[in-house]
Amino acid sequence: MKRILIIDDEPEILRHVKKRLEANGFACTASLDPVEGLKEARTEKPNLILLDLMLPHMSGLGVLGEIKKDPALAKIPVVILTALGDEEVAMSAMDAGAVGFLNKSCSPLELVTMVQMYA
Amino acid sequence: MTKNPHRRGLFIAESLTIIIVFFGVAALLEKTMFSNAPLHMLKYFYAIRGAGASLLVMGLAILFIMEQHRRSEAELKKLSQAVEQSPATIVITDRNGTIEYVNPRFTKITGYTPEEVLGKNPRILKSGRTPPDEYKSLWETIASGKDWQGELVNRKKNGELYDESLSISPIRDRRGGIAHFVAVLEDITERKKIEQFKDELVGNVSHEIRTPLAVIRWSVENLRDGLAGPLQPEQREIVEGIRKNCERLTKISNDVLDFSRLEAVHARLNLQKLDLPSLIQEVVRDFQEPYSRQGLSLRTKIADDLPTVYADSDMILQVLDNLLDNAGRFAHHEVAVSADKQDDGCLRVSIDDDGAGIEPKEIGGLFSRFRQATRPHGGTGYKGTGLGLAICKDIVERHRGHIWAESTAGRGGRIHFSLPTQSSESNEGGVYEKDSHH
Repeated sequence: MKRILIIDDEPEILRHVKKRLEANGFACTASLDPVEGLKEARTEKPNLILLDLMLPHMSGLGVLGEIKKDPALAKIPVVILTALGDEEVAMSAMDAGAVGFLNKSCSPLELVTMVQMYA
Repeated sequence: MTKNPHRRGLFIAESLTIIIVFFGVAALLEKTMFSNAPLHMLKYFYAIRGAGASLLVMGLAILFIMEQHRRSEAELKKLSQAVEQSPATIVITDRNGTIEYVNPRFTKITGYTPEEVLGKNPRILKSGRTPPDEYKSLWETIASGKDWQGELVNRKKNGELYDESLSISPIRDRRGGIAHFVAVLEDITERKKIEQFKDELVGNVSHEIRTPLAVIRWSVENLRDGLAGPLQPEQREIVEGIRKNCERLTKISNDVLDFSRLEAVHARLNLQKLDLPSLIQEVVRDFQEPYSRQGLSLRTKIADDLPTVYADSDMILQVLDNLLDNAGRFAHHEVAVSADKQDDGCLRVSIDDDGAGIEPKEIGGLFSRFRQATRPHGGTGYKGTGLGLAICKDIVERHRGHIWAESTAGRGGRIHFSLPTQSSESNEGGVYEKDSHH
């Protein structure tokens, strides 16, 4: 079973995204805090990380930078899931190494399709 | 020149009084003093009276001319005081744009005294913040004898930037040639700040509601799909209603964000050679699924000889997206997208629907913000924000194109937009930033 790590400080979103992915056959770990999330990534070695951009203590782009710097994590595909719908933000996330960019207002089907594609 | 009827009446009355008194006195003298005089005396009298009359007429003519002169001077003084004391900035240039006059308001706003600007070109105020194509459009318009209205960002003498709304009109000489230009300018910096604040506020609010909206949407979708246990048919129906409205709200907040972004950023167009057939293909692919859900078919007709157009692909894609979304809300069975070359060489894209059509009285306001034509809905589509077409208009006009609607009530609606071709533009002013073919 493929493992997905979700890093998002919005517990409600986290809960529903987790539920949806689990219903589609993924095993999910969730983290509300980016620092905790990075720790989790190092121990769990997930197949994909779903990452929010507006996070406390450290920005999502900062987390992405840390992931890409760490040789043990660098190869894990990261999909951004954010409420920021800006093209500029999307471009900078892709430049920083994300494989996909989804808006939180996307449909569950879009999310599941993208996760299936990269995990 | 403005005439003053009261003063003119007074002048005529004064002149008539002088004439009547003169001839009255002359007649009295003739009757009393010269009635028994010898003939030669009478001749002298008539000669003197004739000369007196001529002098009188001359005097009156001089008086008349002086009065006219006094009156035009008063008019001129009034006009020049109006210009001098006007709350608007007024600049007069010669036909080449060299400044010949500025009013005191100009000095107050820009900090430049008349001595510092007379004989110079208004480009001394240029800030570099106004897109060069704006100046190009300005000069092309006024040189062709038309009025130009627009907004510029200029720089004061102290380096400070300010927003200005201006209207420039050519002044013609007696032969009809352009002799001068008069510009009436208004400092709209404060107004712009308020507008910017409003846009930011709208943008921020619609941004802030995205997260709670997403939470609602995810909850509802999971609930509907039975992830929290199976639903009774009636429960399912209710949940579906929530989902639909949530989707509608998301669309509204996206539209508002798009619009406030367009307004606030005053985005510079990223012009490239437009591959319209690919764009149409892309948007048609996106709409295939939602259209077929509504039972609508989508037809395309693209002419082979499309003219070359330079445009911002992302923005034109947004226009197509909004227009197809709009058509889908009104169509009964079919929407058609076509592209061809207009008689004037411009590229024209048309989106037709077979819905109830647009009422003629609605057409004028169709592209205004928050306006929606009250035409009956075709399918099961949702209502829009009323911003979609306003966004299209803004984008098309930024490309110096036109957007318009046609409809015969009962025979469907039709929206066209046209974009000017490369030949009607020039590369002056760096309009084409990413022209890879030249």
